[in-house]
Amino acid sequence: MNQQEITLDQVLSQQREAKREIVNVDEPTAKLVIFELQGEWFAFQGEKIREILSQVDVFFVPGCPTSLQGVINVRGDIESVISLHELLQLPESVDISSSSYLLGSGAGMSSTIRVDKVVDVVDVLLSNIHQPPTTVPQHLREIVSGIVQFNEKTVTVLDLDRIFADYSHGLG
Amino acid sequence: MSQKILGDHGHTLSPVFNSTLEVVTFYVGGQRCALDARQVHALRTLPGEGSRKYTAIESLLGLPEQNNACLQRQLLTIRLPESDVECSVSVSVPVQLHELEFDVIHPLPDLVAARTQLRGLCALGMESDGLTLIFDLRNLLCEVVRS
Repeated sequence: MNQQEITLDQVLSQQREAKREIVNVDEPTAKLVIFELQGEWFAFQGEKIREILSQVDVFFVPGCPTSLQGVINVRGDIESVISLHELLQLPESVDISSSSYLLGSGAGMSSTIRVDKVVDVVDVLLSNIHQPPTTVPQHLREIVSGIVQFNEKTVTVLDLDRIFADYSHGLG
Repeated sequence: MSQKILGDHGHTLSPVFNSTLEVVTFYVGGQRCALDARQVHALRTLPGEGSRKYTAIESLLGLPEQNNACLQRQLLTIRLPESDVECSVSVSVPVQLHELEFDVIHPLPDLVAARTQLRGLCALGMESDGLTLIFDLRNLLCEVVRS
């Protein structure tokens, strides 16, 4: 028998330790829908997003702010489409053919939000979502609920309840 | 309006309701708009310069003004069925009577209701050939008459 060969006791010990480690990481997580706007990454809490849509026909409704881009038909229900570019002070995307649409609920309202691209839907440890730093720009302070690192990029977690409530009162 | 239907064996079937709403449609800048036909009392052709005497429906509803000079206009007389309030406005042709299925009539989405600048916009009609803006002139007409 090779001297470096592992004994049964050691194997069992390692297995028990591994199980213990699995139990240790069983801490609260949050599902995030991460999306891209003008190269920057943002996210909404997964529980706020009912559906991710693509290839939809948007019908223009006159008399609304430019950020309210129209309405879409979601299997017989009519939902508004808003763009967050103006709210986030980002230039409006030129090519919207590859956009995705997040159907979200918040503050007792529902709407779809047009985003440039959906990056991923992930479970993130709550402990990894940090309070927004004081350096967050003034126009974002009210609507940012946290900051998280994902794939070596900073993701700004947005508060959809606050966005819908503020939007309905004239923000953006 | 409903009626009861008796089946072959005398069983009462579910009541049958009118399933369409009659609307008067018109176009503003290519956008189809509609009024409940019960709120429209009359429609007549306006002679040449006649449209200038009347308020354009666009300004009543808050829709973008059109260059009326090059468009043939008709005079739409709106009257609320439950009152004597009446108002005549000019509207571009074509003006048509149209049946909207109940199934395609939707309340305004929350954010549209909150942010629209259009006066009297109350619903959207989503048909296979596009969107119809549906207006309810009850409150609007009372305001016009009061002013």
